[in-house]
Amino acid sequence: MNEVKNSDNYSEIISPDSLKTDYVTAENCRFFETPSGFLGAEINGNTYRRVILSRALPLTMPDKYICITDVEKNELGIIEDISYFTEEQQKLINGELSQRYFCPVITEILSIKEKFGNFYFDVKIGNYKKNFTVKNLNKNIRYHGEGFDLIDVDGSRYRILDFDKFPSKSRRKLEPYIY
Amino acid sequence: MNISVKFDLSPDGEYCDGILSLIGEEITAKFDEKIIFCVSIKGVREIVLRTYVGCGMIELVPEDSSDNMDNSIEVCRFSLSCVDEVGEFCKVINHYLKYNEETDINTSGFRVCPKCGRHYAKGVNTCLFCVEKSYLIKKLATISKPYISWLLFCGLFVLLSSACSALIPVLNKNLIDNYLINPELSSNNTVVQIIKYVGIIALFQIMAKLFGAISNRRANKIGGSISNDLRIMVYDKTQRLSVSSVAGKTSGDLMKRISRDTEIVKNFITEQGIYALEKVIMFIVILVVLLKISPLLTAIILVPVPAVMFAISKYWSKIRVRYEKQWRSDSRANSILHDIIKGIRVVKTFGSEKREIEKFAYASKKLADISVSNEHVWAVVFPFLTLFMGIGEFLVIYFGGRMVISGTISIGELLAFNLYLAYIYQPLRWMTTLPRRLGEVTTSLIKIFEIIDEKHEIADAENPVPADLNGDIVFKNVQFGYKPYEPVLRDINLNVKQGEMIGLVGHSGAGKSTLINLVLRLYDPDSGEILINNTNIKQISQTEYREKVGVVFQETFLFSGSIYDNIAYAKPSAKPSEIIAAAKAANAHDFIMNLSDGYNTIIGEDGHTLSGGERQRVSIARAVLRNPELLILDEATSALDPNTEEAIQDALSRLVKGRTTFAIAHRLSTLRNATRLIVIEKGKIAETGTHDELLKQNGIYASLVSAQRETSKLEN
Repeated sequence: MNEVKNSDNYSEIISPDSLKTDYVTAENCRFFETPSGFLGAEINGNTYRRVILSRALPLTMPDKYICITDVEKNELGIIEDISYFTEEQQKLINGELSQRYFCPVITEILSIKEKFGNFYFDVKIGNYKKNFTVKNLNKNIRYHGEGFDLIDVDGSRYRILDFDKFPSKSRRKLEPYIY
Repeated sequence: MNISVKFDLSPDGEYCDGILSLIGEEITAKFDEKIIFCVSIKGVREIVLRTYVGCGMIELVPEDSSDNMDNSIEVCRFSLSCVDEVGEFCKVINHYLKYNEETDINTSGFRVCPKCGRHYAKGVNTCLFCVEKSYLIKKLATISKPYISWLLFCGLFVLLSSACSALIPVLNKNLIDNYLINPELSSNNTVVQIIKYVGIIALFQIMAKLFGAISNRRANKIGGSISNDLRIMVYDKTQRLSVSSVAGKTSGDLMKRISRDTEIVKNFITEQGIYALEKVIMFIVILVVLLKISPLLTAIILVPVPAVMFAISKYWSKIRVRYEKQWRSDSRANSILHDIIKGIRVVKTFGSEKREIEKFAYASKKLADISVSNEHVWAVVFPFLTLFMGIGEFLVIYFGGRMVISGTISIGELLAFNLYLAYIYQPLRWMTTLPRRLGEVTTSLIKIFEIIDEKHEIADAENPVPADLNGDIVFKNVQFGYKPYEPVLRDINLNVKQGEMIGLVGHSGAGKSTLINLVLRLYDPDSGEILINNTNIKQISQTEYREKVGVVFQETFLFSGSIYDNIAYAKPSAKPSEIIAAAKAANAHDFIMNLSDGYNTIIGEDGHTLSGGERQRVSIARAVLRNPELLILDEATSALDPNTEEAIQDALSRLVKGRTTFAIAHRLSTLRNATRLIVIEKGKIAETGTHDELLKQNGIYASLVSAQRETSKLEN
């Protein structure tokens, strides 16, 4: 209810202080693994037996601005930068993030066929051969830094880390299709 | 029970070929012959599927689990390639846990081609990877079927025109051999004969052109009609597509398909289609004549043809990809333009014109670069192809000259042969330009048929029954999610009596608007059923049903046109007196009469010339005019100031009287007249009752009311 009061006060909404965010830090936040294998956290003295981590900027800053929520998606805090935490804590954070974000890195493109507006990829992810279908390349490509993610018709993602460093044979196959 | 599906991620997040099964009452997950999970479902409350970014997991929730589910047990992980299958697996188990009934996995929603194993997009019926290359030609042929007689007519005139043209070199040959080279062979009146030949040649020329003009004229008509049919089909389909399907496409993209792609198809039919017919006929006719004059010379001119055809076929796939890329750039530039023009007020108020100009300039330059690059490739390849193709011409001069000297053929025959060469090379050269033109039209056809062939997600029943809303609306065990594996509404059981006003209350994202979407049948429930007067909503004709439903949204959309036209949109046959009565009922009449053009006032696109309250009142008048049996008010007054809201509330209370009404409002005072309030929380009905009953319960509704009281204290 207090939140309602505050949000109706325009002078507070537009004051420069209102743009500041209080981040959780290594001092007031500690993560731990629960017996069920989930990530728990102690934040400002409160214990949460299951928390979920989400990246605010997954493409551009995957290690910064990580939101901590409970299963009901109520926000418990935001981590400004993972590197501010100890190595052991970082391992727990990254472990949870890797469970929530799956974007395998394409190591080789075997073939790309375009048929009737759909793009059929045959790729290698390490030693695993995978095929996937992308519809409407314009909408299903997310650029980040030197590379990009391709999103297939199921919503699965596949990453090209650095297009310029991609094997030249694979690059030649992909080049005509990217904007 | 014995069911199994695939999953594809190991606990370490590596790809694997896993099998998830339920045998008897035991869930097992295994890969590489290794069992990673094996637990009985006894004592399990439910199995929950969670989707994340690119992946998901399922977990068993024990009966004694808290809301936070911190003692759940992870079963397995999977990439979204398996989500449909795993989702169905969970559905079957949850159904069993809840109703103790065994069901089978429903594979109808799986989008995997049984032939090639590739996944295809939502809304597509067939695996486009496996369809034959002639797929598009067959599609186009189906659409062209009504014009078959006119196409035959065109073909006949093209044949006549080609025959006339083909005869001209023969006449030339006879003129040269009989009257110009060997005048002594002719009779005394050589000049008369020459004039006669010139006349005949001129007549054949005129006839060839005349027949050509007739066929071209008809071809233009056919092209225009086919393109018109396509345009209407695409537009018609976009109107019928489900809301989720249309939401997945940008308006710029849809507009490009409806207007420009159909135009490209028309141009191809009128310019290339008839030309192709002419050239093919000409090629066959001339080839026969050439073989008759000299089989050796004919063989010489055809030497480079196979090589050129091979080059074209190799080049074809590359040029197609280039034109696809050009189409994407074009569509992107169009979408940006459409966005900027639609959001021009936001652009201007934020002073971001420069940024937007740069954004569009970048997209436009990309498009220009790709177009120029495509044209460059063409400009380089085309001359070489035609030069190579024309090699035969040089050979004919050499070998033909020698044959004339040796007396094998006459000068007239060589001259006729040379004239025919031009005719035969024309279709061959045209074929070298074909990849470019085909590349363009194939891309457009694909985009058009993508829409036309899209599966109706919310289809009418085979024999729909008329809509009869004179009865209760009943929700029976309704479950629904925009993605079938992520339920937004669960276990909805509700009986709405005819004439009741139901107020839907709850936090944002609780599922109120989703419930309304189901009542409107914009989506179908994943399980359970909605009955309208004892008839399943799926059996009712959608058009007829929606004709009896009136909706007022928070965001009103008014078409560009007059206020009169906008109100009459609900009932085009309405008399002016009805329009005025509807406006009066909606408390809109007074402000309309204050406008100098009254009901004829033209409102700008999206009603920008009217205030928010005025637009809302026009849209209520539209709903009043329809005289709906079922009324839906989705945040109809939440964007308005209290005074305007009062005027609109007054109008709405008149509208609601005696009709079954579903109303959503964040401002709870708006629902004071509701017969019953339904509180929705996390997709379930949490509380039901009147305002007083719910206050007494001191639950979610009571806390919402008290939060709003605090706010209104601040406002006062």
